[in-house]
Amino acid sequence: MSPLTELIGGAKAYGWTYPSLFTSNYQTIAYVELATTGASTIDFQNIPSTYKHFEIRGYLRSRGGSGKTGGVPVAINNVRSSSYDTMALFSSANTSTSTTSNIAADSILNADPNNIATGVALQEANETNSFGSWITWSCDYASTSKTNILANYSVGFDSTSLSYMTISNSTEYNSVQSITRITLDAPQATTGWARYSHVGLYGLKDGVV
Amino acid sequence: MAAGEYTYEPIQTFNITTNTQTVEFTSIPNTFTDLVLLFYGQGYAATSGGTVDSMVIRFNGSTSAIYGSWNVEGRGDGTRYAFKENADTGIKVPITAVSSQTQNPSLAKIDIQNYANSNAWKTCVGRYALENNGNATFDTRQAAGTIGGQWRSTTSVTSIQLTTSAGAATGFVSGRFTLYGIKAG
Repeated sequence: MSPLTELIGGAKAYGWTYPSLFTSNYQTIAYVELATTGASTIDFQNIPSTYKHFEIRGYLRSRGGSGKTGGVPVAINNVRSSSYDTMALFSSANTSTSTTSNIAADSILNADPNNIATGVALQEANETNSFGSWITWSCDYASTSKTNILANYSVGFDSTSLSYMTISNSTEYNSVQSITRITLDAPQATTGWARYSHVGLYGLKDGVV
Repeated sequence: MAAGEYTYEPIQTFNITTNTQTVEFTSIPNTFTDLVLLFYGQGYAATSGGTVDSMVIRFNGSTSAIYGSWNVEGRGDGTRYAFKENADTGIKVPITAVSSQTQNPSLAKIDIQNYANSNAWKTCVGRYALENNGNATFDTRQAAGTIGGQWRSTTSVTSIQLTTSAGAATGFVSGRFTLYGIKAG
Protein backbone atom coordinates (compact mmCIF):
# COMPACT_ATOMS: atom_id res chain seq x y z
CA MET A 1 0.00 0.00 0.00
CA SER A 2 1.41 3.38 -0.96
CA PRO A 3 1.75 6.10 1.69
CA LEU A 4 -0.95 8.11 -0.06
CA THR A 5 -3.33 5.18 -0.22
CA GLU A 6 -2.64 4.40 3.41
CA LEU A 7 -3.34 8.00 4.35
CA ILE A 8 -6.61 8.02 2.44
CA GLY A 9 -7.65 4.73 3.99
CA GLY A 10 -6.87 6.09 7.44
CA ALA A 11 -8.82 9.27 6.79
CA LYS A 12 -11.81 7.27 5.60
CA ALA A 13 -11.64 5.02 8.62
CA TYR A 14 -11.99 8.03 10.89
CA GLY A 15 -14.65 9.66 8.75
CA TRP A 16 -12.45 12.59 7.85
CA THR A 17 -12.91 14.61 4.70
CA TYR A 18 -9.88 16.19 3.13
CA PRO A 19 -10.49 18.04 -0.14
CA SER A 20 -6.79 17.87 -0.88
CA LEU A 21 -6.90 14.11 -0.74
CA PHE A 22 -9.92 14.02 -3.00
CA THR A 23 -8.49 16.40 -5.51
CA SER A 24 -5.13 14.65 -5.61
CA ASN A 25 -6.90 11.56 -6.90
CA TYR A 26 -8.61 13.39 -9.76
CA GLN A 27 -6.52 12.94 -12.88
CA THR A 28 -6.78 13.84 -16.53
CA ILE A 29 -7.30 10.86 -18.83
CA ALA A 30 -7.72 12.88 -22.02
CA TYR A 31 -8.51 16.45 -22.99
CA VAL A 32 -9.63 17.81 -26.36
CA GLU A 33 -9.87 21.48 -27.34
CA LEU A 34 -10.80 22.27 -30.90
CA ALA A 35 -8.62 24.85 -32.65
CA THR A 36 -10.83 24.84 -35.74
CA THR A 37 -14.48 24.22 -36.51
CA GLY A 38 -15.68 21.11 -38.26
CA ALA A 39 -14.97 17.95 -36.26
CA SER A 40 -18.08 15.75 -36.47
CA THR A 41 -17.16 13.72 -33.39
CA ILE A 42 -15.13 14.01 -30.21
CA ASP A 43 -14.06 10.48 -29.45
CA PHE A 44 -12.42 9.06 -26.33
CA GLN A 45 -11.17 5.56 -27.09
CA ASN A 46 -9.29 2.99 -25.02
CA ILE A 47 -10.43 4.47 -21.71
CA PRO A 48 -8.26 2.76 -19.09
CA SER A 49 -9.82 0.62 -16.37
CA THR A 50 -7.35 1.84 -13.76
CA TYR A 51 -9.73 4.41 -12.27
CA LYS A 52 -12.85 3.73 -10.24
CA HIS A 53 -15.04 6.56 -11.51
CA PHE A 54 -14.89 9.15 -14.26
CA GLU A 55 -16.15 12.67 -14.89
CA ILE A 56 -16.58 14.41 -18.23
CA ARG A 57 -16.60 18.19 -18.46
CA GLY A 58 -17.77 19.66 -21.76
CA TYR A 59 -17.94 23.23 -23.07
CA LEU A 60 -19.67 22.78 -26.38
CA ARG A 61 -21.30 24.35 -29.37
CA SER A 62 -22.32 22.71 -32.61
CA ARG A 63 -22.48 24.92 -35.66
CA GLY A 64 -25.34 24.82 -38.09
CA GLY A 65 -29.08 24.41 -37.74
CA SER A 66 -31.55 26.96 -36.55
CA GLY A 67 -31.01 28.93 -33.38
CA LYS A 68 -31.95 26.65 -30.52
CA THR A 69 -30.60 24.54 -27.74
CA GLY A 70 -30.38 20.82 -28.13
CA GLY A 71 -28.83 17.60 -27.03
CA VAL A 72 -25.37 16.17 -27.21
CA PRO A 73 -25.70 12.74 -28.80
CA VAL A 74 -23.38 10.42 -26.88
CA ALA A 75 -22.55 6.81 -27.71
CA ILE A 76 -20.99 4.46 -25.17
CA ASN A 77 -18.70 1.79 -26.60
CA ASN A 78 -19.85 2.86 -30.08
CA VAL A 79 -23.33 1.43 -29.37
CA ARG A 80 -26.11 3.22 -31.21
CA SER A 81 -28.92 0.73 -30.69
CA SER A 82 -31.83 1.00 -28.23
CA SER A 83 -29.72 0.58 -25.12
CA TYR A 84 -30.29 3.76 -23.15
CA ASP A 85 -32.99 4.83 -20.69
CA THR A 86 -33.15 8.39 -19.44
CA MET A 87 -35.04 10.26 -16.74
CA ALA A 88 -34.84 14.05 -16.74
CA LEU A 89 -35.96 17.16 -14.91
CA PHE A 90 -35.59 20.20 -17.09
CA SER A 91 -36.81 23.65 -18.00
CA SER A 92 -36.56 24.97 -21.51
CA ALA A 93 -37.70 27.39 -24.19
CA ASN A 94 -38.41 30.98 -23.26
CA THR A 95 -40.81 30.39 -20.45
CA SER A 96 -40.38 29.75 -16.76
CA THR A 97 -41.66 26.21 -16.81
CA SER A 98 -40.31 22.88 -15.77
CA THR A 99 -41.17 19.34 -16.53
CA THR A 100 -39.99 15.79 -16.23
CA SER A 101 -39.65 13.11 -18.81
CA ASN A 102 -38.82 9.46 -19.05
CA ILE A 103 -37.36 8.10 -22.26
CA ALA A 104 -37.05 4.36 -22.59
CA ALA A 105 -34.99 2.46 -25.11
CA ASP A 106 -33.40 5.38 -26.83
CA SER A 107 -31.06 4.54 -29.67
CA ILE A 108 -28.31 6.76 -28.42
CA LEU A 109 -27.68 8.61 -25.22
CA ASN A 110 -30.32 11.34 -25.51
CA ALA A 111 -30.32 12.15 -29.19
CA ASP A 112 -34.01 12.62 -28.77
CA PRO A 113 -36.33 14.71 -30.94
CA ASN A 114 -37.83 16.24 -27.82
CA ASN A 115 -34.46 17.65 -26.90
CA ILE A 116 -34.18 15.65 -23.71
CA ALA A 117 -30.49 16.01 -23.63
CA THR A 118 -27.59 14.52 -21.81
CA GLY A 119 -25.87 17.77 -22.49
CA VAL A 120 -26.83 20.98 -24.11
CA ALA A 121 -25.05 22.42 -27.07
CA LEU A 122 -26.04 25.48 -29.00
CA GLN A 123 -26.88 25.03 -32.63
CA GLU A 124 -26.76 28.52 -33.96
CA ALA A 125 -24.84 29.24 -37.13
CA ASN A 126 -24.47 32.95 -36.51
CA GLU A 127 -23.77 32.99 -32.81
CA THR A 128 -20.08 32.56 -32.35
CA ASN A 129 -19.65 33.26 -28.66
CA SER A 130 -22.21 31.19 -26.81
CA PHE A 131 -21.43 27.67 -25.60
CA GLY A 132 -23.26 25.12 -23.49
CA SER A 133 -21.86 23.50 -20.36
CA TRP A 134 -22.18 19.81 -19.63
CA ILE A 135 -20.94 17.82 -16.64
CA THR A 136 -21.45 14.07 -16.33
CA TRP A 137 -20.00 11.28 -14.25
CA SER A 138 -20.24 7.55 -13.80
CA CYS A 139 -19.23 5.24 -10.97
CA ASP A 140 -17.49 1.87 -11.25
CA TYR A 141 -17.43 2.18 -15.04
CA ALA A 142 -14.96 -0.69 -15.46
CA SER A 143 -17.26 -3.20 -13.78
CA THR A 144 -18.51 -6.10 -15.88
CA SER A 145 -21.24 -7.17 -13.45
CA LYS A 146 -23.62 -4.22 -13.43
CA THR A 147 -25.12 -1.75 -15.82
CA ASN A 148 -23.74 1.76 -15.94
CA ILE A 149 -25.52 4.96 -15.02
CA LEU A 150 -24.41 8.42 -16.05
CA ALA A 151 -25.60 11.41 -14.02
CA ASN A 152 -25.64 14.71 -15.86
CA TYR A 153 -26.34 18.38 -15.45
CA SER A 154 -26.06 20.92 -18.19
CA VAL A 155 -27.18 24.23 -19.60
CA GLY A 156 -27.33 25.98 -22.94
CA PHE A 157 -28.56 29.35 -24.11
CA ASP A 158 -29.20 30.95 -27.46
CA SER A 159 -29.29 34.74 -27.21
CA THR A 160 -30.84 35.20 -30.65
CA SER A 161 -33.97 33.20 -29.97
CA LEU A 162 -33.73 33.59 -26.17
CA SER A 163 -34.20 29.85 -25.90
CA TYR A 164 -32.46 27.97 -23.16
CA MET A 165 -32.38 24.60 -21.49
CA THR A 166 -31.32 23.67 -17.99
CA ILE A 167 -31.43 20.00 -17.24
CA SER A 168 -30.63 17.45 -14.59
CA ASN A 169 -30.92 13.85 -15.65
CA SER A 170 -29.57 10.35 -15.46
CA THR A 171 -29.16 7.75 -18.16
CA GLU A 172 -28.74 4.02 -17.80
CA TYR A 173 -26.68 2.16 -20.37
CA ASN A 174 -28.32 -1.26 -20.38
CA SER A 175 -25.20 -3.35 -20.68
CA VAL A 176 -22.75 -4.83 -18.19
CA GLN A 177 -19.86 -4.05 -20.50
CA SER A 178 -17.06 -1.93 -19.12
CA ILE A 179 -17.09 1.54 -20.59
CA THR A 180 -14.05 1.78 -22.81
CA ARG A 181 -15.18 4.36 -25.34
CA ILE A 182 -17.31 7.51 -25.30
CA THR A 183 -18.17 9.41 -28.46
CA LEU A 184 -19.81 12.82 -28.70
CA ASP A 185 -21.48 13.24 -32.08
CA ALA A 186 -22.08 16.79 -33.28
CA PRO A 187 -25.85 17.40 -33.59
CA GLN A 188 -25.14 18.89 -37.00
CA ALA A 189 -22.62 16.45 -38.40
CA THR A 190 -22.05 18.32 -41.63
CA THR A 191 -20.80 21.42 -39.88
CA GLY A 192 -19.50 19.77 -36.73
CA TRP A 193 -18.33 21.07 -33.39
CA ALA A 194 -17.34 24.72 -33.18
CA ARG A 195 -13.90 26.11 -32.45
CA TYR A 196 -13.11 26.58 -28.74
CA SER A 197 -15.29 23.62 -27.78
CA HIS A 198 -13.45 21.57 -25.21
CA VAL A 199 -14.08 18.30 -23.42
CA GLY A 200 -12.05 16.75 -20.64
CA LEU A 201 -12.26 13.15 -19.41
CA TYR A 202 -11.05 12.74 -15.85
CA GLY A 203 -10.50 9.63 -13.74
CA LEU A 204 -11.06 9.34 -10.00
CA LYS A 205 -9.33 6.78 -7.82
CA ASP A 206 -10.93 5.56 -4.63
CA GLY A 207 -7.87 4.63 -2.59
CA VAL A 208 -8.66 0.92 -2.44
CA VAL A 209 -5.94 -1.34 -3.80
CA MET B 1 1.47 18.29 -17.93
CA ALA B 2 1.29 14.65 -18.89
CA ALA B 3 -1.98 12.76 -18.73
CA GLY B 4 -2.41 11.09 -15.38
CA GLU B 5 -0.96 13.88 -13.28
CA TYR B 6 -3.11 15.55 -10.66
CA THR B 7 -5.36 18.17 -12.18
CA TYR B 8 -7.84 19.37 -9.54
CA GLU B 9 -6.26 21.99 -7.31
CA PRO B 10 -7.56 24.33 -4.61
CA ILE B 11 -6.90 28.00 -5.44
CA GLN B 12 -8.29 29.89 -2.45
CA THR B 13 -10.72 29.51 0.47
CA PHE B 14 -12.67 32.02 2.55
CA ASN B 15 -14.24 30.94 5.82
CA ILE B 16 -16.78 33.57 6.90
CA THR B 17 -18.09 33.46 10.47
CA THR B 18 -19.51 36.98 10.84
CA ASN B 19 -21.83 38.97 8.63
CA THR B 20 -19.94 39.79 5.43
CA GLN B 21 -21.35 41.67 2.46
CA THR B 22 -18.99 40.47 -0.27
CA VAL B 23 -16.45 37.72 -0.83
CA GLU B 24 -14.06 38.10 -3.75
CA PHE B 25 -11.50 35.79 -5.32
CA THR B 26 -8.87 37.94 -7.01
CA SER B 27 -5.82 37.31 -9.17
CA ILE B 28 -7.18 34.02 -10.46
CA PRO B 29 -4.44 32.37 -12.55
CA ASN B 30 -5.20 31.56 -16.17
CA THR B 31 -3.52 28.17 -16.04
CA PHE B 32 -6.70 26.12 -15.67
CA THR B 33 -9.44 25.25 -18.17
CA ASP B 34 -12.30 25.24 -15.65
CA LEU B 35 -13.00 26.60 -12.20
CA VAL B 36 -15.17 24.96 -9.55
CA LEU B 37 -16.75 27.04 -6.79
CA LEU B 38 -17.99 25.32 -3.64
CA PHE B 39 -20.22 27.16 -1.18
CA TYR B 40 -21.66 26.01 2.12
CA GLY B 41 -23.35 28.65 4.26
CA GLN B 42 -26.21 31.12 4.55
CA GLY B 43 -27.18 34.57 3.51
CA TYR B 44 -27.81 37.07 6.30
CA ALA B 45 -31.34 38.27 6.94
CA ALA B 46 -31.74 40.36 10.07
CA THR B 47 -35.47 39.80 10.24
CA SER B 48 -36.78 37.30 12.71
CA GLY B 49 -37.92 34.85 10.07
CA GLY B 50 -35.70 33.21 7.50
CA THR B 51 -36.31 33.16 3.78
CA VAL B 52 -34.66 32.18 0.50
CA ASP B 53 -32.65 34.69 -1.47
CA SER B 54 -29.84 34.53 -4.02
CA MET B 55 -26.08 34.42 -4.01
CA VAL B 56 -24.99 36.67 -6.86
CA ILE B 57 -21.90 35.77 -8.90
CA ARG B 58 -20.13 38.53 -10.82
CA PHE B 59 -16.98 38.34 -12.91
CA ASN B 60 -14.27 41.00 -12.89
CA GLY B 61 -16.54 43.24 -10.84
CA SER B 62 -18.87 43.80 -13.79
CA THR B 63 -22.38 44.94 -12.89
CA SER B 64 -23.57 45.30 -16.48
CA ALA B 65 -26.83 43.56 -17.32
CA ILE B 66 -25.13 40.92 -19.47
CA TYR B 67 -25.64 37.91 -17.24
CA GLY B 68 -28.21 35.14 -17.60
CA SER B 69 -29.47 32.63 -15.04
CA TRP B 70 -31.71 29.64 -15.69
CA ASN B 71 -32.64 27.08 -13.08
CA VAL B 72 -34.86 24.13 -12.49
CA GLU B 73 -35.55 22.74 -9.04
CA GLY B 74 -37.57 20.11 -7.25
CA ARG B 75 -39.06 20.97 -3.88
CA GLY B 76 -39.86 19.11 -0.74
CA ASP B 77 -43.57 19.67 -1.21
CA GLY B 78 -43.47 17.71 -4.47
CA THR B 79 -43.67 20.69 -6.80
CA ARG B 80 -41.28 21.74 -9.58
CA TYR B 81 -40.13 25.23 -10.25
CA ALA B 82 -37.99 27.11 -12.77
CA PHE B 83 -36.86 30.67 -13.29
CA LYS B 84 -35.04 32.56 -16.01
CA GLU B 85 -33.20 35.86 -16.10
CA ASN B 86 -31.84 36.71 -19.52
CA ALA B 87 -30.38 40.16 -18.79
CA ASP B 88 -29.38 40.50 -15.18
CA THR B 89 -26.49 42.09 -13.27
CA GLY B 90 -25.19 38.77 -11.96
CA ILE B 91 -25.74 35.02 -12.00
CA LYS B 92 -28.16 34.12 -9.22
CA VAL B 93 -27.98 30.93 -7.16
CA PRO B 94 -30.75 30.31 -4.59
CA ILE B 95 -29.53 30.17 -0.98
CA THR B 96 -31.13 30.43 2.44
CA ALA B 97 -31.12 33.79 4.26
CA VAL B 98 -31.32 33.65 8.04
CA SER B 99 -30.17 35.54 11.10
CA SER B 100 -27.76 32.98 12.57
CA GLN B 101 -25.09 30.72 11.20
CA THR B 102 -26.59 27.83 13.15
CA GLN B 103 -29.71 27.91 10.98
CA ASN B 104 -30.69 26.39 7.66
CA PRO B 105 -27.61 25.77 5.50
CA SER B 106 -27.31 26.01 1.74
CA LEU B 107 -24.91 24.14 -0.51
CA ALA B 108 -23.83 24.97 -4.05
CA LYS B 109 -21.27 23.70 -6.55
CA ILE B 110 -20.78 25.86 -9.61
CA ASP B 111 -18.61 24.82 -12.56
CA ILE B 112 -17.25 27.79 -14.52
CA GLN B 113 -15.87 26.80 -17.89
CA ASN B 114 -13.41 28.35 -20.33
CA TYR B 115 -12.96 31.30 -17.98
CA ALA B 116 -9.54 32.28 -19.33
CA ASN B 117 -10.57 32.34 -22.98
CA SER B 118 -10.76 35.83 -24.52
CA ASN B 119 -12.79 34.83 -27.57
CA ALA B 120 -16.00 33.38 -26.17
CA TRP B 121 -18.64 34.07 -23.56
CA LYS B 122 -18.37 32.36 -20.20
CA THR B 123 -20.84 29.63 -19.26
CA CYS B 124 -21.33 27.94 -15.92
CA VAL B 125 -23.52 25.14 -14.66
CA GLY B 126 -24.01 23.80 -11.17
CA ARG B 127 -26.08 22.16 -8.50
CA TYR B 128 -27.49 23.53 -5.29
CA ALA B 129 -29.50 22.41 -2.28
CA LEU B 130 -31.13 24.32 0.53
CA GLU B 131 -32.99 23.37 3.65
CA ASN B 132 -35.28 26.02 5.11
CA ASN B 133 -37.88 24.03 6.98
CA GLY B 134 -37.00 25.38 10.42
CA ASN B 135 -36.33 28.91 11.66
CA ALA B 136 -37.98 30.27 8.54
CA THR B 137 -41.12 32.34 8.27
CA PHE B 138 -41.21 33.76 4.76
CA ASP B 139 -40.03 30.87 2.61
CA THR B 140 -39.91 27.40 4.11
CA ARG B 141 -38.56 25.78 0.98
CA GLN B 142 -36.59 22.57 0.90
CA ALA B 143 -35.15 22.25 -2.58
CA ALA B 144 -32.48 20.80 -4.83
CA GLY B 145 -31.83 22.22 -8.24
CA THR B 146 -29.65 22.75 -11.27
CA ILE B 147 -28.51 26.23 -12.22
CA GLY B 148 -27.06 27.50 -15.48
CA GLY B 149 -25.49 30.88 -16.01
CA GLN B 150 -23.74 32.94 -18.61
CA TRP B 151 -21.65 36.11 -18.71
CA ARG B 152 -21.83 37.59 -22.19
CA SER B 153 -18.33 38.94 -22.29
CA THR B 154 -15.25 37.69 -24.08
CA THR B 155 -12.99 39.14 -21.38
CA SER B 156 -10.93 36.60 -19.45
CA VAL B 157 -12.13 36.10 -15.89
CA THR B 158 -9.52 37.20 -13.37
CA SER B 159 -11.75 37.77 -10.33
CA ILE B 160 -15.03 36.41 -8.99
CA GLN B 161 -17.21 38.44 -6.65
CA LEU B 162 -19.88 36.81 -4.50
CA THR B 163 -22.58 38.83 -2.81
CA THR B 164 -26.33 38.62 -2.32
CA SER B 165 -29.17 40.13 -4.29
CA ALA B 166 -31.00 43.25 -3.23
CA GLY B 167 -33.72 41.10 -1.71
CA ALA B 168 -33.99 39.99 1.90
CA ALA B 169 -30.35 39.01 2.36
CA THR B 170 -27.63 41.52 3.13
CA GLY B 171 -24.47 39.55 2.60
CA PHE B 172 -23.59 36.26 4.21
CA VAL B 173 -24.00 35.36 7.87
CA SER B 174 -21.52 32.52 7.44
CA GLY B 175 -20.02 30.45 4.70
CA ARG B 176 -17.09 28.48 3.44
CA PHE B 177 -16.19 29.42 -0.11
CA THR B 178 -13.53 27.47 -1.98
CA LEU B 179 -12.38 27.96 -5.55
CA TYR B 180 -10.72 25.04 -7.34
CA GLY B 181 -9.02 24.93 -10.72
CA ILE B 182 -8.98 22.03 -13.17
CA LYS B 183 -6.07 21.68 -15.58
CA ALA B 184 -6.27 20.22 -19.04
CA GLY B 185 -3.54 17.70 -18.43
